[in-house]
Order: sequence, then structure tokens, then C-alpha cells
Amino acid sequence: MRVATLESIISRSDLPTLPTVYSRLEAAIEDPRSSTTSISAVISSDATLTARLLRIANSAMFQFPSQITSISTAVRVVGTRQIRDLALATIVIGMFERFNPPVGKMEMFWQHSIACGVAARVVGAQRREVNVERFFVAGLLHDIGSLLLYLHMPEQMMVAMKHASEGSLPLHVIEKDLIGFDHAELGAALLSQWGLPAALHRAVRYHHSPDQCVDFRMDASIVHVSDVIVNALEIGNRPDAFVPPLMDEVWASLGLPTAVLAPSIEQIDRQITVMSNVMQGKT
Amino acid sequence: MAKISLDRLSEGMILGADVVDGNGRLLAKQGDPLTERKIFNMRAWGVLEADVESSSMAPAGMEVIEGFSAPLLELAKAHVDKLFQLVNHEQPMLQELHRLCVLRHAHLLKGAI
Repeated sequence: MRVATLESIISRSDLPTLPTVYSRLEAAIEDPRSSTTSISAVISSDATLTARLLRIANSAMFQFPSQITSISTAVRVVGTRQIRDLALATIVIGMFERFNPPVGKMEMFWQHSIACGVAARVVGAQRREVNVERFFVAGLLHDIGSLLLYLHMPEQMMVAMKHASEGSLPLHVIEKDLIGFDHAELGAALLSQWGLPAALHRAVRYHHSPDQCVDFRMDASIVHVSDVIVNALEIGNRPDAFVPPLMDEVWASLGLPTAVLAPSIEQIDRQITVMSNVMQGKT
Repeated sequence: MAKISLDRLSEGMILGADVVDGNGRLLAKQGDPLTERKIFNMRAWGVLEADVESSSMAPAGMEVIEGFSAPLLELAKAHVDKLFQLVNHEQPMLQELHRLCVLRHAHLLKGAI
């Protein structure tokens, strides 16, 4: 089996690149002179993105009292940073829509990813965090490195997943042993290559080991806990999936009582249907 | 083996000893799985409790929860235990998550039957 290095995968010329609409949106939001109008103009230049963001804003996730018919209203009521994060989520799912790697089931992958995003959003909300959409994106993208592994190292991944299905070691440990790096490291490298914020690639990089995360540990911790919850709920689980080990101190650091689990799971179940439909462009 | 009162017996539990009524009449044999019919007969003949194999019982506190029978919960628990095999069962967060997942899976099984 040919083993590639993380660097050789990340420097491939056929690596997916983030569409320019995202960098233009980012620039518009960071520009102190920008307005709702200029931000909306960027979004409106992409018809699919516009349609999906409007659907999200009008979904049961937000429960706004009246219908939101324009992107400028959506930006105002949802919030600029929140809209940017939801746009990123929508764009990345769109990029991989026709992706068909030799191993791994794409439908399961996105089911698990969307569920983890929704769970991170719910856990963030339980902590009364201001922008919960940033946790949604982090949860959504936490396993993005697996897609590159499925595509570029299918043989090794088949072996790794078969080994993981025996249930003695978590998949990321097997990957590290077999390939030299794991999906978390590769995913973080991809997001960093795309120029996405540190909070996001740290959350992805350390979702199995938030204790090793120096900055943005909260983001990594929320994704870590969400991954545990979603695997336990068996939403989009791979056949080799087990509930990954939970770090005691990480759960404790979130300051949430165990009693939040039951209502959180109800919310996760409700929001998943909405998010999967909108994110994957289903009616 | 544990003595279980009649109202906590449920279908699928395995008898750890013969069940006889006050007159020594044999109602069910050791090793028999309980059926609704057998439980009905025991009640009719005034039996108050029966010995049940511990392995066929749900863990304490889980006998009949939210309308699920013990065997159904046992099946659900076995499934969830497998899923949780990599984690530390001492953690209260995971104990609660495990409990919720057992109920969730029991719902699923009930729907499938």
C-alpha cells in the first residue's frame, strides 16, 4: 500500500478549493465600512446559497414570527457572523455534493456530520453562547479530513475501518498508527489551507483530544462532546462506529449538568430533520 | 437467581426454580421462559413470587420503564452496551447518555416488532 504524507495530500493540485463567494463574504463582514446591503449583495450573487440561507432563516431552527423574504432581512435578524458561518456550512456541503470516494458512504457521512453540527449548536446554546452557528460549522466539518482519506487512501482506510469495527480501538488511533496522521489533523490542515479561522481548525484538529488544545479549547470541547452524543444516538454511524471515549475534564469544563442531556437530545432530533433537508437541498 | 414478586415478572424471564402453588401443584418448570399465560396461571393460583435467573433480568431499577418490558429493555441494553464498549462507564454523563440511549433503542425495537 502506498502511504502518502499529510503534506502531499494537502498540496495536491486537485484539492477542493473554497469558492470565492466565501472570501468575498468574509471580506465584506470584516470591512468596518460594510453594511447589511454590501453583505447581502455578496450573498445574492450566488443563487443556491441565497435560496438555502433563506430556507434556514425561515426554518423551525429560528422560529422568527414573520416570513423572511430577503437576504438583507436574514442578515439583520440572524446576525452577520451567524450568516457567514451558515454560508460556510452550506458552501462546503455544496462543494462535496458530487463527491464519490471509493470507500465510505457519503449519505452516512453527511448525516453524521450534520447531526454533530446540530448537537454542537444545541450544546453551545445550553451554555448560552452568543454565536451558536460557529459551533454548528465546527461540528459539521469535524470529520472533513475523512473525505480526503477516503479519496486518497482508500486501501488504508478499508483496513483501518475493518480494524475499528472490532471495537478495541477508536478509528483515529488506528489511522495514526497505520497512516501516520489521522482525519482530525488532515481536516484541520485543509481548513487552514482554505484560510478559515483558527477557532474552526483547532476545533477540528482537537475534537478527539481537546485537552491538548491550547487556544479555542471551548470549541474543541463542544465538538468532542457532540461527537460522543451523536455516536451514542446512532445518527449516520458507520458500521465500525462506537461511542468515542469522553474526556472527564472536558465535559466538566463545559459546566453543564447531566440533566441537560435529555432536553438536548430532543432538540437535536428536531433540528436534524430541518438542517438535513435545507443543507442537502431537499424539499 | 433472585426471588421476584409477581407484578415484576415479565415475558422472556427464565425461571430459576419450579413454581408450585400452595398445594404443591407444578405450574411451571425450572428453565422455562415465562409467558403471559404462565404469569396469568400463577396469579390465578395465588403465587406471590418466583425465582428468576439473574441473567434474564434487566438491571435493578430498569424492570419496567416507560411501558417497556424487561426483555425488550434487556435487548436494547445489550445493543447500547456494545456501542459504549470503548468508554468509561463510571462517568455520570455517560451513564445518563447510556440510560437515554437504552430507552431510545427500546422505542425503536418496539416500533419494529
